[in-house]
Amino acid sequence: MIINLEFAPSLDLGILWRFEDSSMGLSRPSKASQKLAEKILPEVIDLVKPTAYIGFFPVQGFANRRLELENGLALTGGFIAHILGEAQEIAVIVCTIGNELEVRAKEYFAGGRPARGYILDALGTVALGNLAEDARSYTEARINERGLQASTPISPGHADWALSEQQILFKMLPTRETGVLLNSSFLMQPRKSLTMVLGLGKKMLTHAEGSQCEYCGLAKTCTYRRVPGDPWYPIKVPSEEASMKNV
Amino acid sequence: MSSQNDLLITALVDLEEDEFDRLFKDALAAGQEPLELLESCRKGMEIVGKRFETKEYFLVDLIMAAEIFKNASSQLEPKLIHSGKVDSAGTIVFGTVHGDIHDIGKDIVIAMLRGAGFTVHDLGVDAAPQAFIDKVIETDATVVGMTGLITISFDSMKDTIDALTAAGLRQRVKVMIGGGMVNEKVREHVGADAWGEDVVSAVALAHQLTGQMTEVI
Repeated sequence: MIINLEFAPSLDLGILWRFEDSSMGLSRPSKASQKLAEKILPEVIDLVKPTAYIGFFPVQGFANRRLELENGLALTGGFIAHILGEAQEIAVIVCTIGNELEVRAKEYFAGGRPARGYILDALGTVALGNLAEDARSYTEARINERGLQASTPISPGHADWALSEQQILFKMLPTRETGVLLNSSFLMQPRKSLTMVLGLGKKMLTHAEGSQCEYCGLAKTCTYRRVPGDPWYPIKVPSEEASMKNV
Repeated sequence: MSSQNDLLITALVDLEEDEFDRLFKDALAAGQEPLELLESCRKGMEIVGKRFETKEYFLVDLIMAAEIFKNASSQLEPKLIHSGKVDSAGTIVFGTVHGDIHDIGKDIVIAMLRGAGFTVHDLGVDAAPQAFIDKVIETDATVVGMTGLITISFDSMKDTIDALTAAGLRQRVKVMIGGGMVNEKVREHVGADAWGEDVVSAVALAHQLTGQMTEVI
C-alpha cells in the first residue's frame, strides 16, 4: 500500500539563517540578505509543491548486515543493523517539493541574478527539510497508533549505507507513482527530493533518542545537522496534519 | 583615493545595491577613469571576502556583492577593451566532474573568480575528463578547477587528472578541487595540487596557482 500525502509549504527564515551560518549560531544575517530573503519568500511559497509517498513493507529477517524483506529485496550495511536490526516492518518515504523552484532558480542564475537564485534554492532546501520532518512525524504517529515504535529515519548515503541502495528504495516506490526519478549516479530528480526509511518494531531507536546526523563524519561542523534537542531543532510531536490524497 | 570612490566601495561592501548604482552612474557621467572604478570595485570585493572569512558575512552576502560587481564590471568592460587596458589574472577551466550534477557551488565560485579578474571557462556539470582536456588545449588555461559534492565525484576527479597526465598536459596546469567532503586526503588521493574549503579560498588558491601570490600552498 502506498500513501500519497500533500502538505502545506512550511518555511522558516530562522532555519534558513541557521543553515547559512558557518559560525554555528554566533553570527546574524546582514540586513541586505534578510531583506532579500523576505522578498523571495512569497515566490518560494508559490513554487513549492510538497508531496510525500509512504510505503510499508514487511521484514522477513536480518542476518549478516542484511535486512531481508518479504518482497525479495534487501538493505545492507552496519548502519542498517544498528537502526533497523529489530524492525518487523519498514516504512519507505519519498519526499519532493517538485521541480518548479529549481527551474526558477536556474533562470535567476542564467539571468545574472545569482543572489535570488541562491536564496530561492536555499529556501527550497529548508522547505524540503520541513516536509521530511512533517512526513516523518505523520508516519511515526501512524506507527504509534499500531502500538509500535518508529525508528529514527535513515537515508542512503549516510554513515556506511551506500548511496547506490537508493536503487532498492526506488524499486519499492516506483517512479510512475512518485514522479521522482533516479539517475545513474543515484541522484534524484527533481533535485529537491529525498528518501528515508523508518523501522517499525516493539523497541527501536526513536527519533527523539537519536538522529542519523550523529553518525556522520561532519556532525560537529555541518550547518545542516538536525539532531533532536539541538536549540534550533526542537523535537516535533507526531502530527495529524496532512491531506491524504489516496490510499 | 577620492571620497566618491570611498562611498562607492562602502556601498558595495554594505550591499546597498541602489546606492551603489547611483554612485556608479554618477562616476561614469563625471568621466571617471574606468580602470580606477574597476579597482575600487575590486577593493570592495576584497573587503567583502574578508568579512566572509571572519564569518561576519554569509555566502549569500558574497553572492550579492559578486552580482553588484558583475553588473558594474560588465558596463566597464567595453570601455576597458576599447582602451586596451584589460588584463586577465589568468585562465581557468572549471567544471563539476562526471557523475555529479550539482552546480550552485560551481556557479558561485566562478562568479567570484571572474570578479577577481580571472577568465573562467565553465564546463557545466557532469563534465567528462575529455571536456577538461579539450578546453585546456583550446584556451591554454594554466589552472583547472574541479568540484563535486558526492563521494562518487572523487573517482571522477582522479580520472580527470589521470587523463590530463595521459594527454601530456599535467605539467602545464595546476589543479584545484573543492566541494562538500573534499579535504587533504581527497586531494592526495586524486592527485590535485590544492583544495579549497570555501569560495574565498578558491579565489586565493587561484592567485597562488597562477603565481600571483608567493605564499606556499
